[in-house]
Amino acid sequence: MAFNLLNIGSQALLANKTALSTVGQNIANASTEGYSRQEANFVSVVGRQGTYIQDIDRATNQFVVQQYWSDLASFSSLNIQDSLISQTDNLLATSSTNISAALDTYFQAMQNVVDDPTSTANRELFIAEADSLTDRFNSLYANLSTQNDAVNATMTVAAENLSDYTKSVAQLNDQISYLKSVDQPVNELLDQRDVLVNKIAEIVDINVVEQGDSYNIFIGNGQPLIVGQAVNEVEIRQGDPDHTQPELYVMHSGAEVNVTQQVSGGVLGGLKDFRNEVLNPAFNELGRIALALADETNTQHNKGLDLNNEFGGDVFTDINSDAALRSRVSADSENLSTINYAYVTVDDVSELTVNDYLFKIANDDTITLKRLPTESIINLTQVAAATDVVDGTYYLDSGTGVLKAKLDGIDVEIKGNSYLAVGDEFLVQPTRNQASLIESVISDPSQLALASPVSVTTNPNNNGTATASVKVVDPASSVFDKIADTGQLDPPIEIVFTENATGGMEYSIYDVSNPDDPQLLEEPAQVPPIVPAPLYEKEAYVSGQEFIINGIGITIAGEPRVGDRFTFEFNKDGISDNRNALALSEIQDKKILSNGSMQDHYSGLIEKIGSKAAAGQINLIASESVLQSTQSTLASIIGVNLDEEAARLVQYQQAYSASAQLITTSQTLFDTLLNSF
Amino acid sequence: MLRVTTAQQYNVAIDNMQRSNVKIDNLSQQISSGKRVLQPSDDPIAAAQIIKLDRELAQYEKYELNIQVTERRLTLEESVLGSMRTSLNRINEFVIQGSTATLTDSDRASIAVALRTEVEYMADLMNTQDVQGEYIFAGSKGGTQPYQLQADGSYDYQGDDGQRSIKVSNELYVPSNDSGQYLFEAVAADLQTVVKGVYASEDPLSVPAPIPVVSATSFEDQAAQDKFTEATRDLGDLTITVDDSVLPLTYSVVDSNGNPVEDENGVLMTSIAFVDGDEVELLGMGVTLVAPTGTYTGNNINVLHTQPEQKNILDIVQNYASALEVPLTSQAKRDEFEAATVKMFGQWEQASERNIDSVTRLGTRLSFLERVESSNADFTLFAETSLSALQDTDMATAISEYQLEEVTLQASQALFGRIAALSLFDHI
Repeated sequence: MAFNLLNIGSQALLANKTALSTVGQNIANASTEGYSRQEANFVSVVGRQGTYIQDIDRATNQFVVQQYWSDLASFSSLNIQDSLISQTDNLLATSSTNISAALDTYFQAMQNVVDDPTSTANRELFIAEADSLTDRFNSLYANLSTQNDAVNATMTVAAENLSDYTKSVAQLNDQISYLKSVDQPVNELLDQRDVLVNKIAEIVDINVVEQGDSYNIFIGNGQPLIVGQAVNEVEIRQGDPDHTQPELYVMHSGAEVNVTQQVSGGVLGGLKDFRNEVLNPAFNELGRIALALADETNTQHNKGLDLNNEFGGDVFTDINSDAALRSRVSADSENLSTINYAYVTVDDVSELTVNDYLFKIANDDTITLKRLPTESIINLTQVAAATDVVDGTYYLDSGTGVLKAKLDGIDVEIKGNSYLAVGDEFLVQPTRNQASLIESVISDPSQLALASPVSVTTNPNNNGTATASVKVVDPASSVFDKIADTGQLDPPIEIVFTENATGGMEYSIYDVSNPDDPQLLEEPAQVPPIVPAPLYEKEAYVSGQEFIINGIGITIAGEPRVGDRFTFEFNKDGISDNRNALALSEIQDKKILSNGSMQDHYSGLIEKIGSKAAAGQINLIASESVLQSTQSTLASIIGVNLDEEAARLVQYQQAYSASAQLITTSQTLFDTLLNSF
Repeated sequence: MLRVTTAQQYNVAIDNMQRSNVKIDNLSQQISSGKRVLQPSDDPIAAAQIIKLDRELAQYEKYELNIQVTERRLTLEESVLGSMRTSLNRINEFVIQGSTATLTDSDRASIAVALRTEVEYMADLMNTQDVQGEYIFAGSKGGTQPYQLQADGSYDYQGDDGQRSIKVSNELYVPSNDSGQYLFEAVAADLQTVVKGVYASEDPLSVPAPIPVVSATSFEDQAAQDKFTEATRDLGDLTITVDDSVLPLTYSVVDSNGNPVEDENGVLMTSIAFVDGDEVELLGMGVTLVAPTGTYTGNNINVLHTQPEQKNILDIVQNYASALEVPLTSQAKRDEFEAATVKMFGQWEQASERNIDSVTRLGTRLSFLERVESSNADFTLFAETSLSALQDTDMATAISEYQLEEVTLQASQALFGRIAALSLFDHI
């Protein structure tokens, strides 16, 4: 009986000591990340044989933990996107880096030359502003590139961490199953493993499946990262064919799977979304605006006349320079064919999109063409001859290695050294780098072509109210061939109005090379030629309708009377003329891109990114509160409350004292017994 | 039962204080800078609108600048035209004075000298340059002096009729200059006829040399000119065709529409007998018929391009000065002088009218500019108001929010102190 009491007492002493140590462990780890509170599980022994600690429970709830991981992944994705989008948005919209403000300044300088085309100071200022505008494009591009580099660096670090964490989780899987098998405590290891999985969830959204004592972890579309103790390496590799966009690979049973576009959530998913939805569209839109500016300005400037009575050259670098043509296409390094040359020409900036295009040589001498980043398929019609390629069609002869295609304002031409192999890929990025390529190439203020090369003289004796205006349609027209020699158009023309029998006005166009013997002008040669060539004689007059004569567009509006005449001559020494400058300045408001003017597109970009940022902020706040709520649910299950532990401490301490009292009692009893003898 | 863990208690308290601090910092920045949107990321949607409004404002600023430049140019033009007006009036006085019958030859000669001085002064005005050295009345040829004294003593206009348009509002353009062609080449002098046709482009050395079928076109007097102008109104150039396919030769006259022209009696001028060397009258114009020579296609057809010679005020004054310098020694000369005076008055009238017209046009243009300027100012104000609503801090709201946040932070801090002091360990 007394021995039993002693036994019970010592057992209780042990059990309570163990319980006290769990309280101690709980108190010690009250602030430890991921620590799950432990509780000693007392079991009474049958037949009044005392108590013992059967095991130490670890408070947890696997469902809440899973929920926490998933919330963590979406929060960390939105969090990184929010900070990055704010940066991009600030970069694009802040007035010191903003392209729209730079365009305003540039066009303001142009307005000065419109107001006073003879002023050399204004011309100098304009050239300086053109220079600083292109600098602005270049530096904004560079800033976006810096952001891209930062994204890439973060991706690399995240992928390295992911690799490290997965390895650690696998090791813990191993240790836990071993220790369990030898009946050793594993609670702390389980906590550590959960903390590691938290870190993984911050990097990427994962699917955790508990199998026995192990966590199996999958990412993307079910690519396994960890199965038991087996780890699949994760690696960031240089993008191919686009070297600026690294890609994420999982090495899985000997194969390498590109999971870049499949991952979601976490830092990696956030970075991927940011790259696809914000950064690349910004690069492309910026490039598109740069292309439009350079193309429109050059085209118009080429039609003007400078102070030396010569046609204007380029103001900005030619958008279809050799370097630019090559910069827009890259071949996948795993292609079997080698490339002789690959060009992408921009034909029509107004049709340009901000997409990239992936051409892949398919079976049967066909191609598959994907629009990036959406990866939607574009169906082009195949034509039988390279010369038949028109918009929306392509020509492929993989045997001789020729691929030509035309779509969305671009003209793709790829020539292999000998053949193009099935599976070869070519990435076409018409706009991506273009903002870095734009430069101002004009330096001599006298070469600024602000005048129109054709002057209109309204005969002072005209009785009607008609007015005439001209614009140059084709500066390469033969009508300008002799301006340097004769200082005159070839031929100068005169338009004379007459009336038909019903009173309708008609006009005839005369070649007035010899003013004393005006000849009716021949219409352009037809194929097949019409003999005799038709003449511009008594054509019906429609007010405001433009007709093009020898590359010069003529518009006459108003009411002419019989005998009214307009003469069109070379505008020699017309230094005060600002008509071409006016046309150049109108580029600012002209809808030269698919959805409006350059600045419309730029503010559209800011608006798009801005609303993404705004939506992102709202989502971030929502996701944060969801995360916090899950976190507090989880904390309420696994966390330590010191008051509670204090109470337990008192409880076990008292029990311990009581147990010790049992032993004392047992000893007293024994002593009593002994002393009674 | 929800358990609250100790770590969580601290975390929540820290989070709350952190959040309050961020808000206070943000609000104090808004208050001190007066801007609600400090960075585009503060309100991305407003930021995009701010950029649009900024762009609009930049545009109006540009228009304002354009209006100022245009006004400056037009005011300069106006003041030159004003000086021209004074000169024109002085000339009128001189002409009246000069035409007085009682003057001696030497009196007239001295008036002629005064007129020539006035011409030089006006030529100088018509060659006005702006501060850049640009000739403001040369049309597009601003680098060319528009009125240069020729060898024969006349002034020929060297510019063109180019006009510079300046954008002063959305879709509104205003010309910022007028050419000398319009302003000064205003006097329609005698009709002049140019005979055009194939002969002009053939080799004059060929035998027989190609010649036009009419020669020596002339008008007897002003009445003949008026008659011709009246009769050919809206007909365009007349074409005279000699039918040399059958003899005797005949000729017809058609207008530019290809219709036969009626003579003064309403008879169509078709198949009229053609007598080589005959002088005939064509609606007031005297022409001498010349039989076609050579074998060129089309050498039996000529176009008569008749229009009044445009003269400037300088030339007509100089002409009159020359007339004044002629001593009136005979009745014939007196008659001639009288005719010259009458013509001078007529031409002066034309020049003067054009001057008045131009000043009126300029005035209209300037007042139009003022109206555009004020409506642009309205638009600017509107844009600025919208901009301010978007980006400026509403002080009342911001300050009261700031105070609220301050109170919240103080409460959080006080609460934290209390919670931190709560521990069972203190009591056991």
